[in-house]
Amino acid sequence: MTVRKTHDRSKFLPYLEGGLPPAETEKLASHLETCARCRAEFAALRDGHTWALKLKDAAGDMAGIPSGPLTDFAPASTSPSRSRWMGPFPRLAASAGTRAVWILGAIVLVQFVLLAATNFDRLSGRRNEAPQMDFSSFRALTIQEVPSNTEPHIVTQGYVQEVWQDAHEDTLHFKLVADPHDPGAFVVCEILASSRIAAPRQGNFVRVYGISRYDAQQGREWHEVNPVLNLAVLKH
Amino acid sequence: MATAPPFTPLAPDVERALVLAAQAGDPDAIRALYDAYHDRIGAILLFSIGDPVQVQDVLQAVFLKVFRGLGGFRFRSSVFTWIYRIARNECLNHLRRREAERMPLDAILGAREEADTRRPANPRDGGLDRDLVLRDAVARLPAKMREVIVLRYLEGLSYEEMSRALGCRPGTVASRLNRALAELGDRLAPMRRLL
Repeated sequence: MTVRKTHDRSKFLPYLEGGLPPAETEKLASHLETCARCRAEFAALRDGHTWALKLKDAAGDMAGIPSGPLTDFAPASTSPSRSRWMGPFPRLAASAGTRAVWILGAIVLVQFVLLAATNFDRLSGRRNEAPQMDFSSFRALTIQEVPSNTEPHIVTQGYVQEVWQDAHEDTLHFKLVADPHDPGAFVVCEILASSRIAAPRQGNFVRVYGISRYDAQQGREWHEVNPVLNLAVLKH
Repeated sequence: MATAPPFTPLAPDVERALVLAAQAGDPDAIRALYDAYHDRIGAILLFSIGDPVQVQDVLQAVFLKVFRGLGGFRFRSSVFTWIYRIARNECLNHLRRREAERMPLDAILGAREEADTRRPANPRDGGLDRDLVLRDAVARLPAKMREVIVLRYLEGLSYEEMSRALGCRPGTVASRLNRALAELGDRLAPMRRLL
């Protein structure tokens, strides 16, 4: 047996769970008697396993998550055309009165934003200039790491593979891949027209700063950088 | 190891019949699916999110998507895997939003003298709740480690089922679980007397 195989930690858990063949069980048991480092690592794993076995009991105390009324989901039919999207606050959006308040609030907000933007233009003489942001605090991730990320602000880089315009939404999208020959790992990046960020070209190697999101719409179901807040072309 | 899940899963043929009935718009079947998965998915989310009220919000979004997308479900995966993947993405989106909304504590407290200056609880003083300690330790693990432990020990999934739910190979799941358990054991070493 080679040294690498002797210290093979992947056998620890099957050994603990009694899933190793007898010959390997015996070999590992005698190795653990003589190797202090493996013994220490095995002890940590065994403790973790013992703790984890108590997880069900620990979760038992967590019962009591309030159950929302099923009517909130409006599932009288599962057909997408008949189901109604009620926004991120289905309960709040459920009554007509509350909806009216939301709509009124949205109108006031839009007017306020327009007013503020007009005054800003007049006072500073600048128009639609990208806000100054501290991009150094953005979390750097490979494209493969994006799906398990929980940070809102990320920076990632890759090759631009497809670029398409969404005229209806006035946005530009592009697919960013880690490897142009392997389109499996990708994120879709979205540039808002108002951001004035220049569109990259297909084949460019770019670094993208923005907000990490997941688009769960059927047919999409992909991870996004949306909106893109900054973009640097590293290689044309 | 085959730990029994804390929530009794539906028999596969019963579940299939329920999904087909729900796809046809049967409200009783929809209710049955909701009841079967609400607490089960909620318990998993609770380990990532921590706050039951926030879990309830995320569950609302999850089941909204489940029932909107149910018409397109074609049994290419198990119902649990399908719902879990929706819940996982909703959970990640929620954590991203929560992080974005978080304010520095100083901005809320203002002055340093207003902070709680009491010593943190010493595990040797007694009175520590084992379940609380364990939940907290699992919740603080990195996301990839946390989910393999929760799926294996709370849900009782096999390596193959976990690999389908997580979209990676069974070997990757096994090595990730190995590292996760060792990490959990290390982190809880000072609390070993509670075991």
